[in-house]
Amino acid sequence: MRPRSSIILAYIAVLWALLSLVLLIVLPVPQAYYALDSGEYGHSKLAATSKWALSRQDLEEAASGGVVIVEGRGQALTADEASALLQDAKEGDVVIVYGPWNVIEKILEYIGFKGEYLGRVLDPVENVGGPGVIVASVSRGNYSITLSRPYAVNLTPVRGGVAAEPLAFSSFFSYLDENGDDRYDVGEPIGESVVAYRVLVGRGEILVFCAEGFLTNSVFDYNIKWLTSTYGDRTIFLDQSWTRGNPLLYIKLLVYATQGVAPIYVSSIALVLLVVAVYVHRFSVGEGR
Amino acid sequence: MSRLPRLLIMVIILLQPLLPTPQAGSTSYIIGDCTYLLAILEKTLKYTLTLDSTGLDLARVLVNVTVRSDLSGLHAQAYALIINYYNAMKKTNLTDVSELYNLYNNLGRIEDYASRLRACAADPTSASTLSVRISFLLAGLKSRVMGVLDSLGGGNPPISLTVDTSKVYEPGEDIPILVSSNRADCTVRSITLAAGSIPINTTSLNCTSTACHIVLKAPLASDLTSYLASIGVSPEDFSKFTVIASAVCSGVKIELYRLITIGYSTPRLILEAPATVVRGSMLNISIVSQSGVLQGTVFVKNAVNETSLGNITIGEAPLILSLDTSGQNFEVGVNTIRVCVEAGNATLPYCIEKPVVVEPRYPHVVVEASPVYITLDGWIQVSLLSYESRELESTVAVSASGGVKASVENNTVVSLYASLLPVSVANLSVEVYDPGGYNDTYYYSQSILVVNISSLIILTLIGFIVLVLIRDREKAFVVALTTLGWPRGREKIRRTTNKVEELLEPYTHGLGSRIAQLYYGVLKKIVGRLPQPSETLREHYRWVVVATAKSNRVKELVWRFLQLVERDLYSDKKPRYEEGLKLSRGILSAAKE
Repeated sequence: MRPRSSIILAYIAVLWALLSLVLLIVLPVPQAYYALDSGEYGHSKLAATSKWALSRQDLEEAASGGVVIVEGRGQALTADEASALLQDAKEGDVVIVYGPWNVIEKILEYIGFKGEYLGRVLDPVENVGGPGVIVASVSRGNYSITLSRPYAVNLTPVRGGVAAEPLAFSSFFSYLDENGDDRYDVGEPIGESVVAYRVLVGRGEILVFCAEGFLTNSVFDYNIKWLTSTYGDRTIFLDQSWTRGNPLLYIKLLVYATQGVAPIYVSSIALVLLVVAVYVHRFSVGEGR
Repeated sequence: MSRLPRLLIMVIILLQPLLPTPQAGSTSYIIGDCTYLLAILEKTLKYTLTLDSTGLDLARVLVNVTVRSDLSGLHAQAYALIINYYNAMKKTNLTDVSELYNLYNNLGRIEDYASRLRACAADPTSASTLSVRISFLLAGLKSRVMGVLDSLGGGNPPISLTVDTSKVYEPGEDIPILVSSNRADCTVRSITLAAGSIPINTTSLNCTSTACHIVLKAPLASDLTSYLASIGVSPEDFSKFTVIASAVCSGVKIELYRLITIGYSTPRLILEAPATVVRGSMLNISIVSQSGVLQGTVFVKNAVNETSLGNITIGEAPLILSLDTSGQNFEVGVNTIRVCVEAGNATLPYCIEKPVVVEPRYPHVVVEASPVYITLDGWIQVSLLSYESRELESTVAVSASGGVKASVENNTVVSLYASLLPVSVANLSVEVYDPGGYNDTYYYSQSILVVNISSLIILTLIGFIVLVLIRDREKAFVVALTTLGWPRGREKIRRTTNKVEELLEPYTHGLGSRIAQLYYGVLKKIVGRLPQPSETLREHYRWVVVATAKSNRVKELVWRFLQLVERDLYSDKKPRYEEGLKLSRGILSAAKE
């Protein structure tokens, strides 16, 4: 191929690469518990008011015995991650955990409990928009919190020295949907269920919310008041280290990590616009001649 | 200017993250789960019966919740009554008896609400259990209100009702009842035996004395058939009945309740049937009654319909029935055999069920299909082997195509066109059916990869030709591509391409100046052969121009022109185009001389 042809092809390739990069950064990625997802189970609202930990190292550096670490996630923790979190809690940090049952089950196991899943908690009366988003009362202080897709769990300690105290209860009107058919069946228990536990670990504590959504976007506004009132003096860290397994999610986080419009983002846009402008200008000149 | 919209679209896409995202608003939830409403009503009534304040808290919240529109009126009334009950029963100095009488008489509205909820419940059988419990709780509430009314009457209740509530009555047995009117303004008008809220047997009277004796008969189980059918209650819950004495005291109607137990029994039936059966074969079922001789009916229920297979008489000896599964009563899949016996004197009507899976009767055929077909022309062959003596038909299709119909004999090979594309993934489906209807239709499906070598070769050739055609024209090709989106279409593309090719002509010759282009034009006219890519302009002059041009004047002018071209190509001080134009005209006129 002749040199001039190669230049043209390289020119097009660079243009496409830049455009792809920008589109990749700009287009939304629907991923539950992701800091840049503005969907129902995303964390964009929390991300706007907290610091992000993009790696375990970030978290270890930030953990100082006086922070709140939010572990809302859809993937189960590894043994190393759980051990690091336990260590953070022992040193005085507060760890808030929520997510699907398979995630919570693993965390409880690492803490020293065997959890028994009893069923989803639905509340047709005390809810926000539907029985799957319930209003629960916190046992300490006069607060209500809202949980999305909560479930009831029975805890049995399997290790000595660990104890969990109920932190939040669903209302009298809630019931356990034991067979998961999203409606009440005769025999399913109606009444209060424990939907959050507080486990004291060393100088800190782990708050386990048995719900898929707690500080996620759809219920964030209802719960941030409780969080700031209870732990307002602490810096909140949103753990996003789980995104390292997905390059797309991780690159987007890196770009937005400074929060707001990052320099690399502006630079990318400027570069693309420049390339397009040069291309259009040169073509216009060519036509003019 | 026409590129502006495209640039704008790009800018909008790039700035998309800065735009505000719409927020979903929340709406109040309308409760439509009747079983839940029934259960929460029962829970509230349980607290209410013991005057537990939790019941009042529940009622205060529930009275304000939004329920489906056809229930909202009754729902609000029911919980308002519960709140009224708390208010009335907690008053320490209650003097207004009419308020209590009103409450007493209106508590029946709660029962109406429960009946409505039972009717709309997803599972009416389970809901009826709750409904019966609610009836008993309401009877308890009424008794308590009546107790208060009695106490307000100074230990002299307006009427009294005496019946042995500890005894279990046999069906058909007499139930002696003593009812008395204790006040002159009270007349006992009727005694009713009710199951839940449905009266079974009512005796009218006009009792104003202190000792009116009435005897009601405990109904036979066979007399309760219509009632049982109406509520679908399970036999385990069917033993409690209510005796209601209705009286009128000074124009106000009051009722007194007592709960009694009547001992009905559920017949014991044993139904045995195989779990699976192949369609067309005989299904043998065995039915035994351990509760004497009973009359009943056998049904078969499947996804299509429920059919009665006939009446039967069951005794202690096993009754064997052979059912033909090839008929219309049975469908392929789950069929439920249901045996229902009628009520006897003491035995309640009862049904027993057993599911039987009727498996399809597929013809014995084998479809031989390969997962990968490498074809010359896109046609594939599918072999169908039949081991049946019956004549079978088949439809063989690839993906959404119409398919090929063929008769299936011992070894049938069906050819069909699979794909025009060089390589494609398709779904091969084969349907073998029995025109006689003896066998069920056999379906076979497989994902196949089809390689069409002809298409592959043609496409490769076209690709190669296109590659050859656009070689060295990449820039023109790309520019032409950019014009594809322009509105004036093909004409514009052609003009643009021509224009660009014209502009690029010097570049295709390895030149970068218009004077050089002019020089090439002159050379073409006077010497014919143009400089080759492998020779310099001076070499070309020396070997071609000097040898070809006859006049020294022409040679001299061409040499000057060549120097002018070199200045235009390589020097920082570019000559004017007019200079070249003047020289070219001079050369052409000198050449003519």
